[in-house]
Amino acid sequence: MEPLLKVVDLVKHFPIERGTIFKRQSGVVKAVDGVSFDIKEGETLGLVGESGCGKTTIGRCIVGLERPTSGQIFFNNSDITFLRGKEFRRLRKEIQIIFQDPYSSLNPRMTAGEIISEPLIIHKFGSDQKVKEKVLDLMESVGLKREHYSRYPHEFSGGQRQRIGIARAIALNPRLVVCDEPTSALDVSIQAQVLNLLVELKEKFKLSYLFISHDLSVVRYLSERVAVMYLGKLVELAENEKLYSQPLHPYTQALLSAVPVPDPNKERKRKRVVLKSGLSDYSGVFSGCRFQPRCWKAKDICQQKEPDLEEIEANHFVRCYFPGN
Amino acid sequence: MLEVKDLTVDFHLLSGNLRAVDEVSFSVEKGETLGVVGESGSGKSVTALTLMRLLPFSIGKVVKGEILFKGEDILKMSDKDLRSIRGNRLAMIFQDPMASLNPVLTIGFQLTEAIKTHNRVTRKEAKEKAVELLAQVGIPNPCNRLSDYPHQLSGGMRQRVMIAMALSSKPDFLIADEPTTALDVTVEAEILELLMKLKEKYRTTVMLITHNLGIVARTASFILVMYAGRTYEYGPVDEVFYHPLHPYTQGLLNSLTRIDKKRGGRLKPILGSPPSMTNVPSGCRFHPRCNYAQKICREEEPWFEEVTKGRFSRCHFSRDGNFKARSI
Repeated sequence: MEPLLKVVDLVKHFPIERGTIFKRQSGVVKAVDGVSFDIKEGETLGLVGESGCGKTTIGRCIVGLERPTSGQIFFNNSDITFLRGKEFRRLRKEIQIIFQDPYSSLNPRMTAGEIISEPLIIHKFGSDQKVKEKVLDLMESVGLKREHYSRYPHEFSGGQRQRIGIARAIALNPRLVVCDEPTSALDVSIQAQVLNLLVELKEKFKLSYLFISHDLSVVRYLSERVAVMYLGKLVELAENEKLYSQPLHPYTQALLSAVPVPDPNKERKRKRVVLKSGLSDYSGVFSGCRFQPRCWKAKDICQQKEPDLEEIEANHFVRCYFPGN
Repeated sequence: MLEVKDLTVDFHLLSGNLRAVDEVSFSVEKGETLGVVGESGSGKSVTALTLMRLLPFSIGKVVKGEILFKGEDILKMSDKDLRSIRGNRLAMIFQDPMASLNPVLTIGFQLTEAIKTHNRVTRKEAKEKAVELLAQVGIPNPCNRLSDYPHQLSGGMRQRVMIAMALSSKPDFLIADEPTTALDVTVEAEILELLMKLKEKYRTTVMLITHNLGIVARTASFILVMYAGRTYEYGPVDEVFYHPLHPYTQGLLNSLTRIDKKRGGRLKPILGSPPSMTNVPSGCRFHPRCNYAQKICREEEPWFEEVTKGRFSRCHFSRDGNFKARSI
């Protein structure tokens, strides 16, 4: 089966500029530095990594909010990397995004109803009456009430605002939704509600998700496969259960051992891998593996040449010379 | 070490009074770590600020209650006495290290300032002490870092500087308000480890405020659960995690995603959302969201009472454990 979305060697560099009038480029931030993966129809791919590793930039490139420096993105077998105009708008119906911050991603001057109906109006869904019915339907499926239609964002709680953002994203029946940390700004009890809603909607509307998060436990709950990113590159990609039970890359192992588990006994018994505080150099002239300065397994070869992302077991990809224990 | 009795804090807003913290009582024994958890708006940070008497008078006012620190009431202290213990015997680390460090002064200046305030030392001695402290919190090249400004350090490094500053006078009691919330997981693990190591070394008593139950499980010996400005459950960490008495604590534990739990199955979230503090529900404040709420829960607020030795809960049914399905 052909994947729904295929990302090939995606690169996004941001220039670092100096000077206010005569701008000179003094360097480049390699936010995404050659990333490839695919998402199958109906699948949720989790993308995890720490802040600044480029995970959000990948999401924004896929939705078209950012133009990649190089590389290709295929959706449904057609190249969508540099689409513009009409074709781009058509694609917008298929790929949508849910943002992290439900406070800044909603226009404070529009009512919930207006926010959700905006994509429908832009894509000429139908008469005003039809749009309104559809919006009320959508509001119901994300757990909002009818009377919320004419309320403004500030009248809602964080969880409800995120529901508005979700309703807006699924309004056009997209096939792929990029979820960029949709629950990080929410309280625990509300986070669980929104996560359950995302699972429900996925089944109901046959969605596929790219789920971007720094929270490894949330990704474990939602994703079929998980990709781990470090400084602009994937370091490990595997099926959910595999990745969490037998992480092979030292970075993944360190990440997993760092996440606190709400179980005092387990916490007492756990061994933590402590990383050297790394330099986080994004402009990076890296020699060799980019994780090597923080890695406890690093050997000479790690400094000389960067390892490739290799398929070590079936569907388990790792970028390391010394994977496993 | 610290005993809080019936602490009640009001906020005066244009729209009226708001009770942010309502009759909160708890105590922390010497050498223990108390984890305080609650959702946003539960009053945990306000409690911490009040303990340090850092709540601005223009906004918040302590209506009643006592905060006994080594037997002395912090709320009744003169400013002079307060200055001699705050930042000295009683220290605090805040969530956002960028906002709590002064951006236009060097790390070295801010650290030596803290040291000089509480110790009679020369400038040179203070500087030596600062270098020693930075080395202790794991900052590489401490000598060179002294002349750095906060923006030149990463988030984790800044939080280390804050810890160094808080520990400069070997405090007896340390309040850490969400110290790792702004940090990445690997850095969070390092900082927590550092905090616990220093706690052992200086025998500091710690009150750790967080919304992350995993962090409590990792670091704390006792846990206090807050909801809507009130205390809802208190007890030793193991007992509360494995046998929560209050439905809210149960709900919190059930709604967590965990890395040690296989995929499949749904989370069991708590219904609804936390109440607005301007409009607090009648009776038990948790009743609109509780799976076991009965008529009495809406009408009568339960006491925060000792259910078994050392374990407190605010629920009509904690004592007999006779929870029945919601009937209101």
